[in-house]
Order: sequence, then structure tokens, then C-alpha cells
Amino acid sequence: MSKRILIVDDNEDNRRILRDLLTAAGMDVVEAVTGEDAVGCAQREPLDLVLMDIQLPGIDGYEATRRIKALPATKAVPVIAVTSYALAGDERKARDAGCDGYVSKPFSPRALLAKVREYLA
Amino acid sequence: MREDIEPAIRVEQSVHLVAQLPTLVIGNWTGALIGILLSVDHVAWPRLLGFVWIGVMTLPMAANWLKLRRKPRPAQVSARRIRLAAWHSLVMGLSWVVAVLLVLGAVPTINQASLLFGIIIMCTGAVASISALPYSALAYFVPMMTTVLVVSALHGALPYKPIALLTGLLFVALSGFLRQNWRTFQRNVAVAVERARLADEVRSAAEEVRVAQQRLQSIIDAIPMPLAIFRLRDARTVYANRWAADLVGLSLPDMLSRTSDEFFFDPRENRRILDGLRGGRTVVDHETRLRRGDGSAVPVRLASILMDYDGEKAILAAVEDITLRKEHEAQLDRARQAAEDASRAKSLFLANMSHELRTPLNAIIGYTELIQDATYGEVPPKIGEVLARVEASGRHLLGLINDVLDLSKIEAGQVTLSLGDYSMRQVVHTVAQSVESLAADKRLVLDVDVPADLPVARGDERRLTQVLLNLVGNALKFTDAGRVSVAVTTEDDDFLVSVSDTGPGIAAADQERIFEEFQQAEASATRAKGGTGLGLAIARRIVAMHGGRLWVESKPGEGSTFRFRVPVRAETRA
Repeated sequence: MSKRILIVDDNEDNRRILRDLLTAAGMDVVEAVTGEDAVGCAQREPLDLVLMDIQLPGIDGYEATRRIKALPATKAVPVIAVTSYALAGDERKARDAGCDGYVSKPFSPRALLAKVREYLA
Repeated sequence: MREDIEPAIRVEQSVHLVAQLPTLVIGNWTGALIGILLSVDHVAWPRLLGFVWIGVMTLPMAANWLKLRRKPRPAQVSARRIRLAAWHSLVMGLSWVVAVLLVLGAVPTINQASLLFGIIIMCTGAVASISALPYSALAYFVPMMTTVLVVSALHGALPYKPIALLTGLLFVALSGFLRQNWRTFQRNVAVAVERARLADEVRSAAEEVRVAQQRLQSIIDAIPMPLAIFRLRDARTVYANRWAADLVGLSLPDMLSRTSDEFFFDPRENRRILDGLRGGRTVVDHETRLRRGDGSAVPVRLASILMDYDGEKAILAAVEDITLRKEHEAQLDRARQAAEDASRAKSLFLANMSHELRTPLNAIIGYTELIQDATYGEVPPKIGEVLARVEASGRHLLGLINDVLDLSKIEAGQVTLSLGDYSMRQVVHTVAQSVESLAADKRLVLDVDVPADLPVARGDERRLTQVLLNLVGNALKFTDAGRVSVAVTTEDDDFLVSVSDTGPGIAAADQERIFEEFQQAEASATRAKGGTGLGLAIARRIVAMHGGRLWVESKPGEGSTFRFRVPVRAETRA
């Protein structure tokens, strides 16, 4: 059975790149544009991994991660933060919010795919 | 007799004598006239000349009295004058002896007795009236009393014996009286002199106080600080200098008509200060606003102490007008606020720009990679070649954006080191690992020489890794053949890290320039070798933030050695 990945990003291009990358790798993709969407998806659908953008309209990626991690069903689903906040301390903030991994933008699709596989293994 | 009061005593004696002169003159005349009356029927007139002589002798006394009675008290009197008075008295006394002896034998017993009695009266009177001049008194009464004593003692008649005895007693009594009076007189003069001296002292002390007060007042008036004194009882202003009046915008008299309550916007504040002072507290550095005469406010700093003023408890208040200071503080606050706002705006701008620049770049690099990886189908070789260049340019742009942002953040003081314990050996290994493939591609040897026993270090591991990566990356980039060596030693609690290469070397003229932004040894090298031209500028700043130093040693044709020195235990620097 193929893995289901939730892509959370408000940028169309970013979502498309991730979608193309992951579907080409044989994974199923669910997309969310806002943090609220992401939490809704996590409640509805069974997920194997979340790629979470941090700068989002409404609640940000940190908060969305916190909420997802608070749900019993998705507590164990790995969340990888994908952010262009390459500022010192961002990685720690992501980990504090419950993120399992951290990738800074711009990312290399190859490297990202490797990281996703690592977390799914 | 005390020598220091002798002049004063002579003056007193003189004054006393002049005052007694009429009594003495009239007494002697009376005595002489009675003598004449008692004798005139019994002796020839030449024998009466003794009494007439006495009258003549009183003339200088009368003349002196007439001359001196209206004169003011003399400042001084010579000792000679007092001696002269004594000599005159002696002559008068002897004259009486002669005058009486001239007639005594020729008059009846009753008259003799009267004459002797008269002499005793004269002597007693003289001692009483001129006891202030003891020598004069003695010179007058000793011859006369002696005469009475001798005459009565030698007299054959029995009743004269007790008279002689009593005269002797009177002699002794008068002498005692004289001595007693003389002492009293001296004491009185001494007391008077002392009193005059004290009065002088009091006067000069009062003068000194007045001068000192005036001096103090001048000093207080010269201090350009508002000072005021308020009575504690009713808070009324009892003193204010013109600075105080200026401060509250009132004339001095106007200010003096007010109570301190009127200078506060809330009189309760004043009451609290007064109560505090009553309770023994002193007020220093009390900042408040005073109400001026026109109702406007002036910010001040108050200092108050309790004091005595005209015998009453009062408060001395020293006031400092801190209007300017307050304005400066407000200006400073505004400037600080503006600087903070600007810094926040810059920060926000950097964060936004970072995000805005990376988002499209993310799409460019991402799509390029996906196409290259045949996600969208087979890629013809020619397009694949071009895509490789697109990707390289995209990554270069990304490097530039990262470095520019990094440098701006360092310049803006927004980069703080996150200090932690780290291992320098680990840092070197991380760097070596990440450049391994690059070195292998260029067939360069990468030497690493790090002692195993380096101390546990403290610093920003990520940033120091960035520095070393930059140096080693540069060395590999600019070296075409040979080796790149990384070595670490410790020296005086510092790490000394060196990165040597066998590259072309750097001309002396370029050795400082390469640490400046967008500068490489040769402008063309930037493009040829990649890199942003910002790496060394950033590296140097990061080392400096650790309290260290980064420099290069090189000769063209002989390779280059970049060295940096950082404390083993770096501290947060203010």
C-alpha cells in the first residue's frame, strides 16, 4: 500500500513540486493550503507523514503541528518542517512545536525525498 | 593693686575727687571759720592766719572743681596728678595741725575740746569722702589725728585720758574703714573694667557674627540654585533667594507671602514631605513637579532638611530645575524608540526579504531538479546540459542571497552567538567530510592534523563550522594541484587553526582586500571559481565575535595559509 503524505504549503509552486516529486516516487499526496486545513485533513485522513510549511496564513505551521501532535490518531505521524526561516533558533522552535525533522527552503527535491524515505522507513 | 586696671583706677579716683571737691572745700571753710570763731576772742589776730591759710589752700581745689565739673570723663589721668592730690592733702593736714596748735594753748578748755572735736570730725569726714584716694586721706588725717592723740595724751586734765584712748581707737577704726573702702573701690573698678571689656567683646563678637552672616548671605545669593526656607509650623515662606522666586515665576515679596503648599499641585504631597521631615527623615532626590505662579508646572528635584530659623523649626529646601534633563530624557527615549523601531523594521524586512527571495528560487531549483530527474519525461541531452547551468546559477543566486542576508544580519547586530560546548576535532571532521567529494573530484590531497586531546571548547559550533568550511572550500576552489592541509593547535588558551594550500598564492596588495565584501584577488576569479565574495568578510566577523582574529599569510607562487585564533572558551561579548 502506498504511503500518504500531507503537504501543507500556501504556495502553489511549492505544492506542485512536492506533489510531482512524491507522486513520481509512488506516494499518495493530500494537500492543505492553511494550518486549519492541515489539522482538518489530519483528523479526516489516515496519514504516514506531514511536510509542514511554517509561514502560513492564519495559524502558522508551529501551531498546526502542535494541534496535529495533540490528536490521538496523528500523534505518532512524523512532521517535517519545511521553512524559509533560515534564522538561528528556528530549528529549535520547530522541534519545540513537535516537528520531527527540519528542512530549509530552497530545498533540493532529491535531498527532501531522501529525508522523507528516511522517516517512512 | 592690679597693674592692668591702674589707669582705670586713676580715672575713677580723679572723677571721684572732682565730685567730692565742693564738699571738701566747704567742709574745710566751715572748719576754718569755726576755728576762727572759737579763737578770735582769745588770741591776737596773727595767730588766726593758720585758719586763713587753710582757706587759701582750698582755692586751687575750688578752681579745679570749677574747671573740671563740666568736663567729660577723662580718658586717662596721670599718676602725678594723683600724687599731687596726696601732697596737697598732706599740706592741708599739716596746715590744720599748725592752725590748731597756734591757738590751742590760748583758748578756754571748752574751746580746746571743740577744736579737737572739730578736727576729729574733719578727719572722719575726709576719710569718708576721699577713701577712693587712700594716700590723700592718710596724708590728711594721720597728722591731724596724731596731733589730737598726742595733745590729749600729754594733757594734764583727767578727762583727756579717755579722749586719747578713744582717739587712738578711732584712728585704728578709720584706718580699717579706709582700707576696706579702698578694696571695695578697687574691686568695683575691676568689675567695671571687666564689664567694659566684656561689652567690647560682645560688641565685636556681634560684629563678627554680622560679617559672617553677610558673607554667608553673599555665598547663598551667589549659588545659582533655588533655595527657600519654610516655617514648619504653618509652611509659610520665611526666606527665598531670587532663583527660587524665578523658578516659581513670582516676585520675592509675592513668594514670601505664600506657603509651601501653594507650590505643589497636590498639597498632600507637601504634607507627606513635611511629616517625613518631622519624623526625622531627610529628603534627597525627590522628583516632582512644582506649581508656578501662573499655574504652569516645572519639573524639579528636591532636597530638604530640618533647620532652626529665627528660633523656630523650619525646612530648608534646595530645588533643582530639571526641565532640561527631562527634555533630554524624553528626547533620548524618543531616539531610542526610533532606533528600536528602525531595528525592528530592518529585522522584519530581512525576514520578509529572505522569505520572498527564497520562495521563487525554491520553485526554480525544484522544477529544474525534477525535470533533470526525468519526473516529467525523458530530457534530451542538450536541454539537460542547459538545465545543469540553470541549476548552477540558481544555487549561486541562493548562495548570494544567503551570504548577503547573513552579512546584513551581522552588520545589523542581529546575529548573536549561541554559545555551547563543542569539540574542535568534531568541527574539523564535519568540514572534512563535507568537502571530501570536492577534493576527490579535483584530485587534491586533504590533510587533517588535529590532536586527539584538545580541550572541550565553548563557542558557536555552527558558526565556527561555517568559518572553517569557507576557508577549506576556498582553498580547494583556488588550488588546482597539490594539497590542502588543516591543522589545529592550542596556544595560551586559544585555538590556532590554519588552512594551507598549494594554490597560486595572494599578492601582498590583495591580502587585506580579500576580506572586504565582494572582493576576490582577481575580479574575474569570482565567476570562474564560484563563490559570492562575501565568505571571508562573514568569516572574519564571526571570528571577531568570538573574540578572535582571522588573517592570511601568502606569497604568490607559494600557496596561502589562512589562520584564525579563537579563545578555547569564548564568552558572550557585550
